[in-house]
Amino acid sequence: MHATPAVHPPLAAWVRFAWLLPALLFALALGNGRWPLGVEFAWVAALDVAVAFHIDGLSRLFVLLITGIGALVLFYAPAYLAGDPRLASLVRLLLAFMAAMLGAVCADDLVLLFLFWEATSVLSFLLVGFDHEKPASREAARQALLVTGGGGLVLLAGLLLLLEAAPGLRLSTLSSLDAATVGQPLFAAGVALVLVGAMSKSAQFPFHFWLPGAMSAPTPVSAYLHSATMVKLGVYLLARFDPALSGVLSWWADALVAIGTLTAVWAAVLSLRERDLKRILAWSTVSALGTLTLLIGLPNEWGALAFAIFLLAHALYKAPLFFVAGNVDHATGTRSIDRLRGMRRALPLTATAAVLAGLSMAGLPASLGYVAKDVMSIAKSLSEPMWLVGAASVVVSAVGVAVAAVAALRVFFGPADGPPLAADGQGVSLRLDLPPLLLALCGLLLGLFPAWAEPVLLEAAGVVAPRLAGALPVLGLVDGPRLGGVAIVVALGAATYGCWDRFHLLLERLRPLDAFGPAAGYRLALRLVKSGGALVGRRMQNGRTGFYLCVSVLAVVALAAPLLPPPRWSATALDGADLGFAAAAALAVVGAVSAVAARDTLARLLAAGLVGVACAMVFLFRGAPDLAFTQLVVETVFVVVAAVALRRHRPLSPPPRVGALRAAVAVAFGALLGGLTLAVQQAPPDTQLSQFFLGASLPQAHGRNVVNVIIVDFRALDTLGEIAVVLLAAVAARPLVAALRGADAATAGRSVILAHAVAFLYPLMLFTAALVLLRGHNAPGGGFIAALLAVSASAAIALVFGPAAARSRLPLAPPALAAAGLVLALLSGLPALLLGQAFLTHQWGEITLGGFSFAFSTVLLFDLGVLCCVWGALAGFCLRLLGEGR
Amino acid sequence: MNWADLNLMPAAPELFLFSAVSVLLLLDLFVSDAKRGITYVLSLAILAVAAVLQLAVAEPYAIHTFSNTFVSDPLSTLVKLAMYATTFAVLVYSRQYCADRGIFKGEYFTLSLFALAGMNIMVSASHFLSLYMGLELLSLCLYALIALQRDSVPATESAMKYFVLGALASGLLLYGMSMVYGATGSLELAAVAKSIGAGSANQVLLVFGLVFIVAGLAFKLGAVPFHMWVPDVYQGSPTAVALMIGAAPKLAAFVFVLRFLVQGLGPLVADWQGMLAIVAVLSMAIGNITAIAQTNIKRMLAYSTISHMGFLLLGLIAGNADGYSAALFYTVVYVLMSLVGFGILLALSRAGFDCETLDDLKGLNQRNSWYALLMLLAMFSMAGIPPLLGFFAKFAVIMSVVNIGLVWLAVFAVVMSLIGAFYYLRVVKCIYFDDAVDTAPIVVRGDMKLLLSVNAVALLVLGAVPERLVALCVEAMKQSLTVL
Repeated sequence: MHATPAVHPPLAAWVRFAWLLPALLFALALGNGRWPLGVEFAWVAALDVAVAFHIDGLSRLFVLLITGIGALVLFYAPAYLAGDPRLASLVRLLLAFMAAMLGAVCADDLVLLFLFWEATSVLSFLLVGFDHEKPASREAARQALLVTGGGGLVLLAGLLLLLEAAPGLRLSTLSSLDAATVGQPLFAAGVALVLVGAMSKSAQFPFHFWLPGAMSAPTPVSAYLHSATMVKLGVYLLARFDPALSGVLSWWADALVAIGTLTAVWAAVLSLRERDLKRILAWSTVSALGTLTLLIGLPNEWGALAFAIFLLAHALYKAPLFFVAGNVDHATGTRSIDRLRGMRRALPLTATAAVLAGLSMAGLPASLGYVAKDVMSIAKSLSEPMWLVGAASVVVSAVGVAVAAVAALRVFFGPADGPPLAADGQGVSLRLDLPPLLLALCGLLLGLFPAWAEPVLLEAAGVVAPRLAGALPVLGLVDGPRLGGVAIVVALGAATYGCWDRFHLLLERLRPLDAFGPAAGYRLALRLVKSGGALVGRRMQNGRTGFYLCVSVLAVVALAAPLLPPPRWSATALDGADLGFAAAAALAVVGAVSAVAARDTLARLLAAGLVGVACAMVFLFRGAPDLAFTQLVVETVFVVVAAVALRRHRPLSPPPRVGALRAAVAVAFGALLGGLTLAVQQAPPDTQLSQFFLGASLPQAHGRNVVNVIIVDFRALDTLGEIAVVLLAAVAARPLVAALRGADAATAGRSVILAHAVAFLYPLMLFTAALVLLRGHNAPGGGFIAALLAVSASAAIALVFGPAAARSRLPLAPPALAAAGLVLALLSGLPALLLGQAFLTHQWGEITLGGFSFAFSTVLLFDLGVLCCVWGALAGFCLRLLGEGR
Repeated sequence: MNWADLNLMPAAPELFLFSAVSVLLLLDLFVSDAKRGITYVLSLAILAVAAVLQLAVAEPYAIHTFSNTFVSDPLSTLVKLAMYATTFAVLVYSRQYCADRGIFKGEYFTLSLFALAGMNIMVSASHFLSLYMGLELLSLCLYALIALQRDSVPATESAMKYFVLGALASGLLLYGMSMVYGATGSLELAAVAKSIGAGSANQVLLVFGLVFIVAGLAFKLGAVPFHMWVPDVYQGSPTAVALMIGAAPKLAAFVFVLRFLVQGLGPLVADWQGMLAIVAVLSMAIGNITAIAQTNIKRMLAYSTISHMGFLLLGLIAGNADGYSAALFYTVVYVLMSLVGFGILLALSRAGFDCETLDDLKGLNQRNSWYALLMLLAMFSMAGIPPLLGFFAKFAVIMSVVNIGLVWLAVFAVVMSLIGAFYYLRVVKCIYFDDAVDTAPIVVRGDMKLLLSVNAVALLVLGAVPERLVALCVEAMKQSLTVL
């Protein structure tokens, strides 16, 4: 077990210099000019998953963003969390996250893409929940993971459908798909699911709500995940799919434009409602993501170019603003714009960075943001007239200006009322100021000299719009007519900024409407699933075995009933046997119903016995007298012994009443089995086996009683096994029965007449048993029935004279008798072995004595073994039950 | 009966297992409680020897013996090896737990090993009767194992429930088997398949036999609507026994189902596909949704098992060799994961205290970050989060239903795994984000710590390189399922 260390361990050097790794990668990606680059090797060949990477212009742009901003984030983090023992684990997680991001934007194999995609979701869960002592953090982390991770699963489903529709598909081969493949409904369904997955990752409406919540993450995390990289993964995927789909799938472009516009406006409006600087920035990020989606949906090449430029511009201004928010938080402990005023004196360098980034965000000339807006407006003007989209973009831009003003002006330059906030906070070191400054400066420099970024951006846009290749002019600096547009937007933005607090109050008043928003939907779904689970758990899993049985039986009925063929009724004349059947059936029904309905245990037992008797009747009318005989004896012995045992023991608690459910289940199952029996009887039975036994019984086994012949001859080995089991069961049951016995051992109320009758009956019954044994081979009878008779005889003696008396009349002690029986049966098989035949092949011989010929056989020995074994075992069991040995 | 033709070699591991356990049963009578470690070591040794024997007699094709009631094929070899390993791990994990609760007795080991012998028979059966015999041997041992703590009311109650419901299921299975026998005139899997394929069998009888068999099988798997025993039994039995029930028997049950449905009733695939689809959908839905509401982690894992069985069935529903190997892969992975999940619960339990509720897991990261990490691996893997092994298992089975065009089922499965992720994550949240309620030191024997770590890290390592394991499953399935 690890004890929490009292002092912070010294910061490992690698944590300070971890940023060098992404910086190196950044340099490599910037320097290497040979694109596209592909790597591939087999991984899980059985599932058709390969490790395949393909880096083209679009991937390269993302790689540059991920490594470049990643390096700055890793540079920033050690200063931001200075002294925090969890710093090392944060850096580790950030590095892992970076690797996952790089994998996701470079993956070529669809499944590999999903793997990295989910990895980013999981790592973001751990990063967002970093401050896990705060409940809000935990909730936000879970929400982010459920929305983006769940979206990832939807993406997987989509990718699988795409792979099914176009086997062997790779991201790099998307654009070479023919229209017939893309036109398949399966492909379209896959695309729709991919779209949903991408929307959840990029926080598009209606999945947008998780992103502002995720702001509880530490600032380096927000700057990295929630503005520059992870949230852009969704739009990255949409951009990848766009060239293959636009123009082929009719709804694709329209859907992107609609979703993008809605998200952009919705988020822009909602950003006005916030007071927390970071949350304001988060909403404006959602708005920007909406704009990016919209740009992908625009049908011309300019849209693609605008997408690439805006992607870069947004990363270059939004990440610094997050850093700025982090610095302010770090210095003052608050991010509320109500309390933050005039921070420029305390944080001059941070203020500079904020202003520079704000310029680009507002889209003022000489910034990359301006270039982006410029190309964007060209793209929009070239599309079919979409005034709604145009109007929306004005709103979005104006709010963007206002947000930039809040972050850059209000916080830093407003009148400082109240005590200076920075006094009690930690200072802001250069290491915290450098990253935002650097990024914001980049944004400005690229705005002045767009040609520097042109190769990278054109390459990226060329992937989204293949026709673009080098056809565009050098990105212009200042475009005359556009300046007027900028002025209007800036003016509107200034007005919005001026009325920020009033808008805020107005929107606050609309807060009750949140109950109908997607976030509320998410909470409702969560609650429904939870309470649904609880309900199912409580209702179904109530712990009552009887109920479980009912459900299982009902399920069988539900599965089987639809398969029942309709019964075919045919009118046939009833003969005597049929009447007997009918009587037997009526008896069985009466017995079953009364067994259920009776309140007294003894009555139940007797009623259940009736069912057995009815069975015996059926056997009798079916021409199987020995079966009937066996059944009758078994039933009788069982009922009598059980009844006596019950009388002597503690009374059982009355059984529960039969409820409607149980009655219904019983009737349904009974009806099913009845129907099944009817259905089966309509088919002619397979008589192959019965013909064989009927034919072979006499010539091969010298017996006319087929049942007995099967038991003792054809399947003698089975019978041997069975009697061994009977013996074992009796031995095993002895201690159990002893534990069950009650206190009263005396045989109460002995009748003199009964005593005499039984004393006389005992030898008679044994004699009958012997007779039944001897004749069994040719006429109804056999060792087993004989044994049952003998057991009844013993039981009768035990019931009247007590178990000891019955015990003393047995030839051997019950276990010994049973064991002797088993030995006899085994011995009967030996002659065959000696003669070189299979074990238990019975031998036949004939002796002529005084004119009579006696047939003898090892069968008799075997049957005698069965008799002794069953007699010993069952009698022993009955005697113990009736109190022997006390 | 001809003894000369009897080839005992394919069954050598089973014969060894039976004889060795019988000897162990006798030997244990002369071992005092203080020296019970001897029985423990001998049990582990028996498992090791059986595994070596298994490898020694393995052939890359199917050999039938015992009058075609027993088969040794690559599938059975692979699964049996997995079951030896699993049982080995279960015995190691449960040692301290059992010792603390007075069930570190000879019965525990002999019953476990006899159960294993039953599973071996299930896995190697090629005849309805041997299938059934193996099943009953397993079930009877499990009933007794659950009730091993005779003074524990929940344990005896669970044992009774399991027994009563299990008896019903066995009855259904037997009833179904008798109908199939009536229709085809044979109990031997290959002959049954041949007879059904010839089309001469009574269809009504066959289909109803199938319904009853599917119901019985679904019960043994613990799939909805025959799942009711699972949560009660998992929760009520000692954790060590719950692990025993949740691990190797699932492997056996899977092969059992495969032998019944594919090798015996393969020609009825169109009929059982539909039934399994219903069972799979219900299992995934009810298992996952109900798991969310649980606070007892054993019960939660029980529901999670139910949902995993639903996923496993997806591979069977595919009705082709790819699907079956995906399902086999899923089962192996599931067993690996549940070993870790329950293993951690066993590690956190101590004398007089059972780690059972989510509260008991709270703040595990503060108490011991290594076990926290292991549990995280297990939970993420169960949730199917890449790159852990559990992801590939889900991926494989979902892919197999996509491949036969059951897109709706695949999408449903994906949505269900999302719901599933929710409760696995809740466990992770408790471990990492909450403060510890229970602060007692965690004491774990060295051998268990090592094995558990290897077990959990395997989820990660095999997740990175799943190819070998997948290929093993595919090969075993291809070489074993000649009747397709």
